[in-house]
Amino acid sequence: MSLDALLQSNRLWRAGEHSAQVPALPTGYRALDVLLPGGGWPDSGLVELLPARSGIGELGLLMPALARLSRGSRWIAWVAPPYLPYAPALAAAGIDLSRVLMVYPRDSRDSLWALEQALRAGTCVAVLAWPQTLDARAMRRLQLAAEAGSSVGFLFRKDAARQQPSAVQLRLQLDCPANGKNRATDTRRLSVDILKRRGGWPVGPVTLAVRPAAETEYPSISVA
Amino acid sequence: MLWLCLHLPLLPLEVFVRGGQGRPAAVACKDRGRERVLVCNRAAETLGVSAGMRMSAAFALAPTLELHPRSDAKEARALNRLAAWSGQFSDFVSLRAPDAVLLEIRGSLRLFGGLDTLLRVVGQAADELGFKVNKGVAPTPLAACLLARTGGGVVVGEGWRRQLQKIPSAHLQQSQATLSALRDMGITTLAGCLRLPRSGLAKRFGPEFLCYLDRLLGKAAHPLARFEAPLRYAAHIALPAETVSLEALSFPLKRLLLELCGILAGRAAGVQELAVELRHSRVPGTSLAISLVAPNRDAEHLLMLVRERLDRVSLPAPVLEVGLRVDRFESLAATSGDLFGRNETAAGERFLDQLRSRLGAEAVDSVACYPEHRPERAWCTTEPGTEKTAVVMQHPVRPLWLLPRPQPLPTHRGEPCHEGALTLLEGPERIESGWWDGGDVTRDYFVACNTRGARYWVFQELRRREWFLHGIFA
Repeated sequence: MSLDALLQSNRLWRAGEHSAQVPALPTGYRALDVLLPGGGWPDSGLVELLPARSGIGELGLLMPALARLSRGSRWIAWVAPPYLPYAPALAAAGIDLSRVLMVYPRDSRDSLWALEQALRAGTCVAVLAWPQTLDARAMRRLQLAAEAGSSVGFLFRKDAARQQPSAVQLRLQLDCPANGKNRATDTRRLSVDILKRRGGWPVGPVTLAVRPAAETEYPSISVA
Repeated sequence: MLWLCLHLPLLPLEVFVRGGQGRPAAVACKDRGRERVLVCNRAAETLGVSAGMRMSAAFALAPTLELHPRSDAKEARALNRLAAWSGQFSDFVSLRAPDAVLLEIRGSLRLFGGLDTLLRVVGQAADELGFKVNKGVAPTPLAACLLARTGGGVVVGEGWRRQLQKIPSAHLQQSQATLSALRDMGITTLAGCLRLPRSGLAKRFGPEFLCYLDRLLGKAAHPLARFEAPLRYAAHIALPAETVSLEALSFPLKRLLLELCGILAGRAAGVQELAVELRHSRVPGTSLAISLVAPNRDAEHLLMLVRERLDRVSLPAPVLEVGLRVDRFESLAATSGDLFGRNETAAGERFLDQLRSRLGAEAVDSVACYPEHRPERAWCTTEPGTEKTAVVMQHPVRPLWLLPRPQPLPTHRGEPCHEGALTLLEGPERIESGWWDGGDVTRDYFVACNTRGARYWVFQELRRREWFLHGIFA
């Protein structure tokens, strides 16, 4: 392999260079996009989200991207959601509910199976899951499945999981900003700390204003 | 007209055991007062057993020989299924009992890209079902049958009658008496028969023999009854040994599914519901129902669903026999598969089938909005892919997570708490509804925030002044 070919290959990462050719999906938050490889969520692979606790806007963070993805023809699968995903709120966030698939496996073994199948099938554009325990081997399998199915898996995990190494492409820690106590009723803030990203050093935290509804910063961008 | 005859020389045995490998097996029949071998498989042949041999001799050569009594009923059912399956290659199929099927293939040649390709496709497909098939092709049905019964062959084109004349007269489908009379007259080939004067033949063997020869050579019309395939399917395969292994069960099921899908292809149909039936010794049988999102006739996909299902079920006992039953065929036109969008929808449906076959039908659904003021009734579950979000009621802000039922909140000095004191940020939104159906609610909803920054959707029940948590702004 020539040096040129090696440099072209996206298996090689050179420090200090954003690999711009990574196809990505805008998150809907410009402040976050500039920090992510390719300027958004990866379009295939795993994203690990570690919210400090539930109710800080961790799901709202994904809504602009999911709304855009739901315009396509593939499913958005929710594997074993911990509460009832509330249809009126999803619709208000701009999600086309006809693309939403809820999967309720009986136990964690089935959940893992369903998660892997959803990622691998190629018929799900995004998969959301809340795995309880996930070892490094399972994580690696899921990452490969997501790449094979060109699907993006958003894994919500306990904050404690940050101690584990993992094969994911992107790992974000989510929390409320320390200063603002969310007293203001108009905007709500979420602090995003990028613990790991492919093609870059960890950065953060960056504070975003999480919007409740469908308005996006990039209305002109369309997704195939 | 061009006819293809599929002759199944081993059918009496194949209704019990298919494939040449495995244990030596044979089917016996009574012939001139003695039990003789009718057909045997290759494993028996290698031990020296052959058709027509007395049973005592066969057992002396192969003490482990597995002997099956001949079953006309099973053969008839298998032949009927094979005729239905042949419908995918031809639009005119006729039964040639007890062991052959006739297909008119002139019209199919173009579709399959020529005779050689068609024969290869048919042969391969029959192989996958586990049947040994001899193929004869000729311009008349009887000639095709004659060729198939002599081991297979193709006679087409100008000189086909001449080619046919070399066939030994012993293979003609006539009574034993006729055949031995021909032999005694020193006639060994079809050509020999044809050299005899017609009047003499008619006198000696009856007008039927003349009619047979005329039809064989295409000098007389030969009307055939069209085989009408039933619009359902049921078949069983006995396993060589009791088993619980998924692999051992999948193999015969794959054959059944391939046969089923061939039949479906011939009828431009698909299945939406099928049942896998497992028979055990002593305990009652197990029946596993499998439903699909949309009609399908892809054997690979169906096999995957069946395997997922089998993988999940705990069998009460080892399995002796596997079966497949379909009571209803759904219409499913042939799809070229590359029509825009069609493929992706089908793939999405296949994925639903896959999930449901393992997790159960109720484990996969979707959500929809429902025009109703009470928050717990403002949504419903629905079949994935059906909801078109057209009418959405305009609500004030709603949480992404709803609790399955409102959770009572403790209070501290009259203020609600949830992991810390709650501050009410927005509200109240009064929801008063449902007095007419007994599910009446009178609530004031608030967006609340605790000291750690988590936002909740809480309400105060107005009659008892109690606080509840109903949603999470995740």
